[in-house]
Amino acid sequence: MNKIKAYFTNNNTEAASLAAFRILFGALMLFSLIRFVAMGWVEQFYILPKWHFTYYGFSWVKTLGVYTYSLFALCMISCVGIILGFKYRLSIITFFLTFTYIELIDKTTYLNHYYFVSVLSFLLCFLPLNAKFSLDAYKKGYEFKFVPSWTVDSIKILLSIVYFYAGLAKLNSDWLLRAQPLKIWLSTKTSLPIIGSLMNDTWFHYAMSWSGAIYDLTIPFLLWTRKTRPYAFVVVVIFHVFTRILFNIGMFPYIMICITLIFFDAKFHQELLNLVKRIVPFTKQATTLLQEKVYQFKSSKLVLGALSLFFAIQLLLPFRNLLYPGELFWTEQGFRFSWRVMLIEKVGLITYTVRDSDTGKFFQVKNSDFLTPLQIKQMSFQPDFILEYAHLLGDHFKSQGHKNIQIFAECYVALNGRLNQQFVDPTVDLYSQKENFNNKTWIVPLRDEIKGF
Amino acid sequence: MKKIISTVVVFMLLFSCVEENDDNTTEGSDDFDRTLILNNWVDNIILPAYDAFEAEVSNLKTAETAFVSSPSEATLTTFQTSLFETQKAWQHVAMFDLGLDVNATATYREFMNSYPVDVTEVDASLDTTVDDIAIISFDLSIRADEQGLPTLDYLLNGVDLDKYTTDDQSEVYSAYVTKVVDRIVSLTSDVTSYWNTNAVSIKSDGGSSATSSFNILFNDYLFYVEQGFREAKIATPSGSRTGGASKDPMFVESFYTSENSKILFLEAYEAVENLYFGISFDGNSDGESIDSYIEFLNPDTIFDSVTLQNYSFSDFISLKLSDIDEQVDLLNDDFTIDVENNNDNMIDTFTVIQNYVVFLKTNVVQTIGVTIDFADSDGD
Repeated sequence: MNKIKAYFTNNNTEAASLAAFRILFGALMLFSLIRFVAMGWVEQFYILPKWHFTYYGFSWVKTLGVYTYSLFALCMISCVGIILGFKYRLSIITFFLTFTYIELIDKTTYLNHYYFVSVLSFLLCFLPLNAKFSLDAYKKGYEFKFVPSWTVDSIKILLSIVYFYAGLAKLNSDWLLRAQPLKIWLSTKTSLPIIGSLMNDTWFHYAMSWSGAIYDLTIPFLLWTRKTRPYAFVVVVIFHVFTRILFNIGMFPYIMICITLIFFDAKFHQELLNLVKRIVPFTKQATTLLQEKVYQFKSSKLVLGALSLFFAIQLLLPFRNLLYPGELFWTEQGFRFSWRVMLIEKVGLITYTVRDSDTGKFFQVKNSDFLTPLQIKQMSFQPDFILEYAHLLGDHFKSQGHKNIQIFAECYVALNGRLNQQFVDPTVDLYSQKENFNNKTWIVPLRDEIKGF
Repeated sequence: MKKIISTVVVFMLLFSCVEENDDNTTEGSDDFDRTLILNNWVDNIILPAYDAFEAEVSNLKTAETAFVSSPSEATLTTFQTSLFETQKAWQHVAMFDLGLDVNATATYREFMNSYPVDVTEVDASLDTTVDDIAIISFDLSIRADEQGLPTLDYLLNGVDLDKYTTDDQSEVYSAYVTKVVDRIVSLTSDVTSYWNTNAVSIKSDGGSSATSSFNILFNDYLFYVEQGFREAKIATPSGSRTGGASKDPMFVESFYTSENSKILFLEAYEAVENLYFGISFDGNSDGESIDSYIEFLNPDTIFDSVTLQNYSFSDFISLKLSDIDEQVDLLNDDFTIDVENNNDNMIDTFTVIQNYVVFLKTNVVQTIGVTIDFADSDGD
């Protein structure tokens, strides 16, 4: 107990680690945002769609239409603030809020790494990333050489949780015993240079699955241990380069590789800062370095309390699927926000019928009249989308003057190479079903069992 | 420090070797297989089918000219026969619905083969003058069901010969027939020249992004099997979606010569099978297509938890197709008879086709990793 107390009060580490991390993080985010805008995705995902799929409890988050661009602009400006360490607290809070707002507009574009950025930036709101080598410090005229160790460690812990939980999630029979969904994804990549010839080999699918699981489970420990750290980093680079080559995962590999640098010694981070100083003029301008001073939190108990709660949620939230019956990969109840990455390959086919319960008259809905292709794809196999869309349709047709509306769905889904099967009970009026945290009884159970986490 | 930096540099170099592929540009994956498929589709199926269809359309124009210049039992019969041949040839090009101007209000298939015919509108036009016929705009999508093959079927088989000979309006009837045939000729000429001009670039675009030719053609195939084949030919006339309540024999393809409806269906079914298996238009060769691609990918066997049996992919497809074969055997040559007297057979036909569609749109799509009319974006 005393040891723990001592850790929080006496253990310090160099502020250079946080400063280097701040610059890397800000730069990566800025680049990601620019790339996102340049791809035309702001328009495609947030402006053009007629309807958006919202997160339960966050339906008040609405697209700003064409002004979504200003949201992106604000988010980018905050990145610049982060990089410079200028009004850092304001910048990082702005970043967290704008980035998270954008993500909340439409869950169609949910990606684990976007969630990771939101969660990480929330954590960073509490940490003194501007203690050193920042405009804030320059203005004050002094900077700190040290910060409490737990500030740097908390970033490492978050990253470790992401890896370890991603590894746990891979301990299931589909991943380990059927090499799915990697088998599906890899076999179509045979024309890649050099490694292409392996892509259709069954042993390779298994090798990739097993090594992926072992990697995720062990890499946090190998990074924490000084002796194994350099080798671990090489593995991190190789792993992410591989995923970058094989899959369409945008900025994620770059982000993970750079963020992993936090595990290295402060000496390394100081050298990174020196590098910046050499390259960028003006940054050499000296501030008084408070040699032996440690950054002091104004209310460290409050911060530590908040972060304890934050980590408790991070540790527990991924296990919420245990509260639901049924096959997790099939029902996806408790699937998001749990670092379950690349575990399922699903294709769905869904047709909605709008019926007048009085006259029995009905017609079928053309999904492309209301949704974008990406929305249709995501909607066709995720129950919360299916239900939300049923309500959007019902409300729409009600406003058009239709009466006694019932909405039924005929839906078939194929999961990880299994034969497709019916997904939604076609006799249930989805318009009468409400979204909540309860088990969705209208999902037809998977006629198979996937063992494991 | 140096080691770390050099590691980072090495991975940056590695990255730069890989083409940026998360936008709409083509991916480098699988060009080998997919261009082989595209070559087979374009050279052995699509172009020959369009050649054959264009030849029939040209015969149709000849028959029309002969009929209009001297309408008689003989010229009418020739014209009717030519129409039937054109309708049969049509079934082999219907799924490749590309090539009209981007500003067109409807697709080639919609202009060519929308049925049932809007008889009320067509009759109203026939009640006007030759000058009025001349100014009708067939470019409007609302007029898609007042032209094309179904309308010609009505004009030749649903209207008495004396309308073209002794009737007061005979000139208007002839003018309308000519207009419909000329429209068929010009649309077909646009589309065949599109295919001939673009064949090379279509064949070489073997990527797997949403805009690659493989994706476009495969999506067109899926769309046709659903809409042109399952819905239009079976589901709509039989009212399958309403359990038969909304059945209507008027919705049968080629209603005025409905004795041909099964023949047309079987032609279309052959085209649907041929594309999947890569069988050439002349039926003589079997090239690369979805079936051989899947065989190459060697997916897991499929366990059917209803029959408790394991199937290979190709066996499962064969099973679905033989279900369709068996069911279609029960249908009359004239689908209007089934709709009126034996509609359950039509509805069961819908069900077995639907089973094929669902398998295509879920398991086949999943296995070959095709983007099904979806935008590209990052995944995780």
